[in-house]
Amino acid sequence: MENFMMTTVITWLTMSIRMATPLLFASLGGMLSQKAGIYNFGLEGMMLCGAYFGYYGSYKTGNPWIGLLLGMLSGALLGLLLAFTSIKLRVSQLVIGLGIGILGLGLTSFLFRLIGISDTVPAATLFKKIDFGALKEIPFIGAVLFTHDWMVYFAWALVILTALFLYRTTQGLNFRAVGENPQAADTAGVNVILYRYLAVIVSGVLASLGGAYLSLTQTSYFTENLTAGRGWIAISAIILGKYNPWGVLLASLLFGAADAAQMQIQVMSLGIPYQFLLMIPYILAMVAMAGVVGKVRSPAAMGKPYIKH
Amino acid sequence: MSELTNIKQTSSTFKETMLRFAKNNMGFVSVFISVMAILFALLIGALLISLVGIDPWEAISYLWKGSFGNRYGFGETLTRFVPLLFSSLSFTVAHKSGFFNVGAEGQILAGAIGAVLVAAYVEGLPPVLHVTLAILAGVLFGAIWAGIAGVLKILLGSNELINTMMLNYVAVLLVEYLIHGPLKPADSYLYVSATILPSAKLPIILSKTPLHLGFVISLVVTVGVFYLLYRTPVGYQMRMVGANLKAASYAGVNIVGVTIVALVTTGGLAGMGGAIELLGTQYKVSNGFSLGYGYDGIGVAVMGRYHPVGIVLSTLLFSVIRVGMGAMQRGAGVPFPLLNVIQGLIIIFVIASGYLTNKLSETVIGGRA
Repeated sequence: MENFMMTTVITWLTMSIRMATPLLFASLGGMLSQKAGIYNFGLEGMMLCGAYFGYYGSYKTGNPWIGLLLGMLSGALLGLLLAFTSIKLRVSQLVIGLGIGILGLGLTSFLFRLIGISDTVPAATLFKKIDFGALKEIPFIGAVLFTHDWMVYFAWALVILTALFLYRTTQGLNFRAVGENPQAADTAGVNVILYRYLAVIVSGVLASLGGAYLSLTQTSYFTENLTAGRGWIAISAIILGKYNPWGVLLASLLFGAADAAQMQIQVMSLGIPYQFLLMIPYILAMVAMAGVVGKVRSPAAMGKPYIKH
Repeated sequence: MSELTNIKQTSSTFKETMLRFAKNNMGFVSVFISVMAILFALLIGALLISLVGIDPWEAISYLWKGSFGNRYGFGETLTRFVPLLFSSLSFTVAHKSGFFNVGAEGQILAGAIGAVLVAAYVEGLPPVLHVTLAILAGVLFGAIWAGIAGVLKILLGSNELINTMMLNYVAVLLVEYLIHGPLKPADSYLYVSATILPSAKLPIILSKTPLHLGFVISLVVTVGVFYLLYRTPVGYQMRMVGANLKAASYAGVNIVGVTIVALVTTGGLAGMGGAIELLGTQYKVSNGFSLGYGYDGIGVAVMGRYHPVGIVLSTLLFSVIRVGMGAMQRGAGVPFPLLNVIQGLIIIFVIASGYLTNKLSETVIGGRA
């Protein structure tokens, strides 16, 4: 019995880390964009494109790296679209984000149906898990922490890098200033427009990595609407994480843990209708946001286009 | 040399003439720019079709044949028009009053659930009363579904865009649960709700087509919605809150009260759309009951620039595309999700083209013309 409990806990924690990773990529990306002053409500569409093009590239060439590059390229292009329309054309960032979301869903489903007409969905080559050798054998910790593929560790490394960049470098200071007070940053000689472009494009690339993680390490295939709202949950993870890379990591882990838990309960078949279990991540996102709003201060210039005088 | 100056002068006169024309016809020019944006989106759609090896002209001919080519198609187009119009009205009210509701999809489903409870289970009512009560139930359920996000916004200031989006996913799962359990008739093998009673069905208004009375209701409601927004004090206050929250608050507008009216209206409209779709077209709630009407409404409202005539026309265009896309899929093998591609592009191009319109009006009003 105790053994069974132990296995369940280990599986749950391992799954939590896996389920947290796509959210972590996307919410880090969204956070960078928002910190520079631009709302990225297109995360869902960017994730879907990353997942689809990652899958497509890997399935066509047998090389997941090519898939990953293709996926990142699609994210960068959508990021550029969002950047251009919200920075240069100064259109509503909310509406353009929704437009990108709908476009991403349509484009990936459209392309997928073209190749998916045959009865079996062809599988893509997955990234292999890293072999940590002896580390894997450490009781409990080994199974939870050292059984993943490189993308999981890369996501963690990104948290550290983002934190160092934002709070320990001059460029990071400039970056934050662009989202807090662009006028002052501009007066101090910071290229506001350039920082914002880079932030939004990087955020598109990161979101597409989150999507590609799903198709290139987890499922090996694509399905329509594969991300199932993770791009939106990522936005609430940004708020819950208080616009801080470490906070975003914790928030992603929380949502990942909820997702893993509902999956495990489904397998246990306790008689709870699976539809209610599937609702958990969405409801948790709402509850979590409700719990922190008012206590979180968002970047002051967020959502406001910058007009140079 | 003199020739060059001459050309320069001619071209500057041309520019002046164009700007003067724009100044006198600003409305026309902005409509023209929107139409160009839509054509551009359709052109990219056609390009995508030809890229995947399908003849775009053949595909487009299906678009026409499917939607207007015959009596049935015509009726079907106007039938799709109904939920789409409600959905875009819902988004318009929300947009105008500063409550960014992207949850029409979930509210349509909530409305359908409310309506099916009355329409399938309450017996012995005369038709007019039965239909009215079922629609009211739909309005109520839609308003409650939007109200969840509304309460979170009013009490805590929680972001309604994310919350209404989350509620869409929850509503889809809730419908899935209900049609697998409580709402599934015991003798049915299919996962659908019970069929509504005959007394709750909306009458067909064009024989040999699916076109029902809901079409007329939707147009009447449109007039009502814009009357509310532009001809009543509360509508004025709603728009004030939407345009500038601080100013509205200084002017003494009861922000909470106005927001409650706004969210009951936006949720209620979507819920009414779901109810009417149930009573007029589908008669039972199934897995794919809404199929994106809620998201389509956003595109329609943006494209129609939140203007009554604009919205009715763009709803018509979207329903033509929707019905035609079905024919294109059956006839030319074009995958249906191309619909979303075109919608996404239309949203992006239309709001991006707003930049041109603004730029032009700045130049014109700036007196440089």
